[in-house]
Amino acid sequence: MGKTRELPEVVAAINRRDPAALERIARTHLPALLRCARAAGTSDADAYDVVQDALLVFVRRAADFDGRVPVAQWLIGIVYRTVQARRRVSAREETPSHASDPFDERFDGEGMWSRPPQSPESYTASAQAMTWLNDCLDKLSDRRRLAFVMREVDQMETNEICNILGTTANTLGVLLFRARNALRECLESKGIRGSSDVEM
Amino acid sequence: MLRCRQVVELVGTDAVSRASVGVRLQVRTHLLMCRHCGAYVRSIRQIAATARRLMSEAPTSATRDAAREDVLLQAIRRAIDIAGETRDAPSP
Repeated sequence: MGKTRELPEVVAAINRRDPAALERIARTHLPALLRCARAAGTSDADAYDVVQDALLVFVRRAADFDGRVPVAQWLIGIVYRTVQARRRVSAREETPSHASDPFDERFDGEGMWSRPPQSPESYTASAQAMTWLNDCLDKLSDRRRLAFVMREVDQMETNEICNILGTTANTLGVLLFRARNALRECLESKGIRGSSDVEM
Repeated sequence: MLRCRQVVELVGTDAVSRASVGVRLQVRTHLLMCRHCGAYVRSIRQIAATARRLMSEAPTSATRDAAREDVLLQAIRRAIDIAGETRDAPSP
């Protein structure tokens, strides 16, 4: 996020529930909020319902907005909480065990690489990189995808993400680690297949 | 000395940002010397950058539904009006 606080005049307009300001904010942020709802694993059909619920919360709670974060980030937080509340994403804690994790097989008993990673340019530089990443994101569990998107795309603070997921910083770390490794493995395998397709 | 696996776990879990100065320095030195760990860290950064590009493009006009957006904005306008009436109501 570029700015770290909302402008005082915007906070004041939201707090006094200025109709023009509230509608402008809803309209401006609608595409980003729909994107967040989808990234959190909501279907295209349900995304509008989720965003509508979230914006209704925004209007109801407008007087509580203190501007400590930009309004865009406040809205994103409300969307993710709405998704969580609707789906009741399992609050099961992720244990740091690496059983049956492909990541585990990349290291020897000494903790040194036995199967080192490919250079990322082999897949991120591909013209299909975005399509591949989209497929790989779909394969993540909702909870891992949500953690990854909040951190890497919305660049939210750790405590805010933990608050939404109802988890600790350590567990969030495990979620992010598994999401990143799963995406890496998925993209690397697509990159290898993609380059062998070209050679054929 | 940190092993490769410890380095990628520290970076991949974001724990490195909460680690002591000494550990951060060891991670940085390791990454300068180990090309495999370097490739790992570069890969997770590039995946994050690609995700930001992907998400900033979505949703496209193809996946957006103008009719549903109208319905949604109408609901918001009604809520804003109701909130305004509550605000303007004389206090008892």
